[in-house]
Amino acid sequence: MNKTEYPEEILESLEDYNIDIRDFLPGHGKGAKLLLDFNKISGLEQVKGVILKGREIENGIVADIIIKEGTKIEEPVHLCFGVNKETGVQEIFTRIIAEDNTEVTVQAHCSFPKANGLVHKMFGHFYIGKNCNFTYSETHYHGENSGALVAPVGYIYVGENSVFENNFNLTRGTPGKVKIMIDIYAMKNSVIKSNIRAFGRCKKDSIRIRDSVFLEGENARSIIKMKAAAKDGGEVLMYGITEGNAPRCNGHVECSEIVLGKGSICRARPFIRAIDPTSSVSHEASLGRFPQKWLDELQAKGLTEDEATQILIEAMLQEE
Amino acid sequence: MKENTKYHNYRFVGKINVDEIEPWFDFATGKPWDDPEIPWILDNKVRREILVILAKGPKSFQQIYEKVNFSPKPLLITKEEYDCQISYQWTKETIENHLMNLEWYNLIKLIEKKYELTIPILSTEKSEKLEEYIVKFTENWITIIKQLNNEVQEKIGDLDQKTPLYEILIEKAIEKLYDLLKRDNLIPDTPNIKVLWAEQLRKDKFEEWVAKNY
Repeated sequence: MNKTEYPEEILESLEDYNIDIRDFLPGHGKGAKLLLDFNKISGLEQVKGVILKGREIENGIVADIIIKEGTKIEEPVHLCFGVNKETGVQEIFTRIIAEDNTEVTVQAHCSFPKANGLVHKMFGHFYIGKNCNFTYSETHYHGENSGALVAPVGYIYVGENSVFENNFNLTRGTPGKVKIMIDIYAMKNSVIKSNIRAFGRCKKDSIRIRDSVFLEGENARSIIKMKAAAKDGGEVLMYGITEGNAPRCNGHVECSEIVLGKGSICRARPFIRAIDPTSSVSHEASLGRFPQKWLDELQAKGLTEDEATQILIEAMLQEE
Repeated sequence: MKENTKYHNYRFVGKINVDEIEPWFDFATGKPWDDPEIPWILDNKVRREILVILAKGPKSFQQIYEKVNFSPKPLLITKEEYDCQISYQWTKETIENHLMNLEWYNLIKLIEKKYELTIPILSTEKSEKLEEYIVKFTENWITIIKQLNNEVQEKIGDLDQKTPLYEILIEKAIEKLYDLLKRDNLIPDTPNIKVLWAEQLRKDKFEEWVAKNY
């Protein structure tokens, strides 16, 4: 596929994240790919060990992605859900099945550079088998106007001895209204790492993310790390749930949020539950401003308070 | 900003039945602070699944254990193209934990080695039969609302234009209706967990939609 087949605005839209979508397009790299231009499938490329099938529906697509047993691929499976319009509805129904003993990274780019009332919905199911190593990374950009209404729901089942890593990144542009709900069910000896990063920059931004991990198998382990900032009237709610339902499982929820400028709101709702007497679940949360000492140290180097704060936010949203 | 989540539409009429707003109630909801609309117990899909299984009749532990498992199916890819080998089975210890949890919250009880529901769950099949009466109830309410419209406007119509007068009236009237019907034993004083109905409905409707379109 050459660049003219896919809107240039979308291809360039993730530059602030240091991501060039062109690197992931069909013909580039060895990973499987599914490209969506609004509600039209504009690119689909399969590789050995991956079955990828998509079908257009009225307002979006239905897609299946199967990673066959034993498949280990270095190049990510790339999903690009781009919309180069101000308004409209894009609905994605995906089902990803990673069979036993697979290793794969799915890289999703959701870019809506002109969004101004656009609606993006996703209803996804991920089924990860035994002894897998599965990473799902999703990077969002909703333009600079008034953002989009983004409401994905994900149900993820992680099989025995598997590692699942979830990375969600929405730290550039104007997010708009974002409501994300993820439920992860962790089976025996599985490991879940979920990293959420979001930045609400103005009054139009309301980001509410519910990330739940249900430790359903013996020795399952999890960590949810939620990092967010709200500026100039933006609103952020990070709702991290971890439930220890199985013997010797162990989970932790960590939440850091920075509130900047009057009218901004940061909320954290860590909710942990231990149901098995041998389970162990913990949480920590800190909200508010950066410690004065950190700001002082940067200001001593000649930065203004705003610049120092900006650097600290960048650092917080980028750290592992 | 008003919270407007998917749970907002569900009415959970719980065990606690207190007429007056007590000082320890949540200011926003006017209900006990420790009793949210949807109890956290139903956050977990396994527990919801157990309740849906028990809605079909009492089951032993072994029967529940055998049913709480699944194998995923792709949406588009046919069995000939790909036969899924993955399956998920919850362990007996975990199911036991979930059952104890449900028992603690009095949603199920163990009678003669079989678990059964203590709450009514509306099935999707029954919901279709209800439609006729939903229409009848609504039509009658509309008649009453129209008849009283002038009186309402005259007496309390001077509220701020932004006040959703009829929304408040209907909301409050339904609450009152519940109370009166419970007092007269016309409806049982038990939790009405619509989220379960929604879970079953969503699952069925989604599968139905997939089957019809693909």
